[in-house]
Amino acid sequence: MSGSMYDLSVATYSQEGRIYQVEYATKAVENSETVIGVKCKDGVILGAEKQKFSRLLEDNTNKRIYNIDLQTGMALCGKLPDGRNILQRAKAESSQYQDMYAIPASAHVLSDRVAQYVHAYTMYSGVRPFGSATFIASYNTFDGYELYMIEPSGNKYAYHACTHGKGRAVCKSEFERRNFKDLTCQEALVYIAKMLILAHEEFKEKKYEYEMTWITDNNGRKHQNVPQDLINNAVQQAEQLIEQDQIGE
Amino acid sequence: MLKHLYDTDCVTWSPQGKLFQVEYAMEAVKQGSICLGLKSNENVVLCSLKRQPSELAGYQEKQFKIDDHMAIAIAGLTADARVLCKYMRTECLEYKYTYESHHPVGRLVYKVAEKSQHKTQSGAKRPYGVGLLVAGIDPNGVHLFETCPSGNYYEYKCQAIGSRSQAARTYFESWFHLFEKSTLEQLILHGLSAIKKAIMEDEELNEKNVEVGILGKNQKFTHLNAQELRDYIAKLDAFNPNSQIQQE
Repeated sequence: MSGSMYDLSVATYSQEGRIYQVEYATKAVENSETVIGVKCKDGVILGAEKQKFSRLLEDNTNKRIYNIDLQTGMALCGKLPDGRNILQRAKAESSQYQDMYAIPASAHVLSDRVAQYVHAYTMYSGVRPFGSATFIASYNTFDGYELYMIEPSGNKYAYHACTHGKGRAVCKSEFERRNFKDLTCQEALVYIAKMLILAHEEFKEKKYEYEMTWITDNNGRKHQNVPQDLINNAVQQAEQLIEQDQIGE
Repeated sequence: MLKHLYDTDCVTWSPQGKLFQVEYAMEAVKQGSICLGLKSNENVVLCSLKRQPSELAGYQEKQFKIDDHMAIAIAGLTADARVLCKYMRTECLEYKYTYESHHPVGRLVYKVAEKSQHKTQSGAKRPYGVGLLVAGIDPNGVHLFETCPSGNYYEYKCQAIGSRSQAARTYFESWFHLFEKSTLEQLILHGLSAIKKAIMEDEELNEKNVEVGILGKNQKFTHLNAQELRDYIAKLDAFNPNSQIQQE
């Protein structure tokens, strides 16, 4: 797949019209931990797996999902330092929008601005594309629940459900099977946990933590962490579901 | 793979999605002499092995106070560390001036990580070639963070970085379950035992080449002086973590 001499700078097109540096940046995201975003009947859920690569690590730190505003959240997939750079920009954009228009920025406005920022880094040879895909979930009274994903190329789309990272193939096939629009967020937690667990099946010896946040009708339509006991229950039930699936095969 | 094509600057991704310059910067940290940190419910201890450029020279300091409640231990390019140290000290002072309280540890580490990340995304810059262990105590609790040249940061129960640090980490993996309830003295002895695992066969720990810094909920950051170091090193041979288990 190596692009011979056309892949050394982001300011160079290959003969087929591809920009290899952007594709390599996307590779960095594809090799990292899985992140999922799902829109349900009554809200949006963001979920991420965190591998505990050392026993010496503290629990429940090294977050991947952050608040941009009370009702807007961002999940980072790929290289975390790059993701946090994008996050800072998103926070600044959201704050400036609110200053100017006196209402919180909705996800389609915010994702547009973030996408433009990410895209700008794919146009100049003095910088490099971000090695991070970001998911933006929000609620506001005009547009309801929204979910967007922004890729290292600067492409952004609105989704019913989206995923990136190592386990994206597994998650995408689960999305096909299940209609999340018919499930409430509470019901969907189990399936989110199931997807995150299946995403790392091969490396069973490692310890994982799961970070999940939601914006739902039931929690005041704010972006908050899913309570830890709900996550733990969902993970337990998901493990049982997976066992049953395996026995069935 | 033609690595040399993709590894000359920070703005080139390799076909596998790696940034080689950033990975090379992490190597600089591994070349520095070992420093480690460990924490209990009440205290954080930083231990480091100091190097001497020549017989006639002094030893390079590895631990720096950032504020009463925070300190760092460095591994890697000392000059880069000085830049970060100055930045952290200034931020703490400004925070104290504005809010009349100590800078929360996690937030300062986040700022350092952000600063480090910007240096990895420009063709005209290079990453910081230093890893920090940040020890701090704030109302959220007792903290030990590691920062990397890549802009990543992690919170640890205990961690060792620098040359031959794997030996110290292996020691930690066996004993870290005892650290939470350890006394300050036990914590220091654990730290020194871990460093002892990482020194070369012909080297010896003495009060000149070891640096120990301690932080406590009611204790501002201080270094152990030469006499205290000698006393602790003398206790090392008799120190047995197994006896700590029997106490609990």
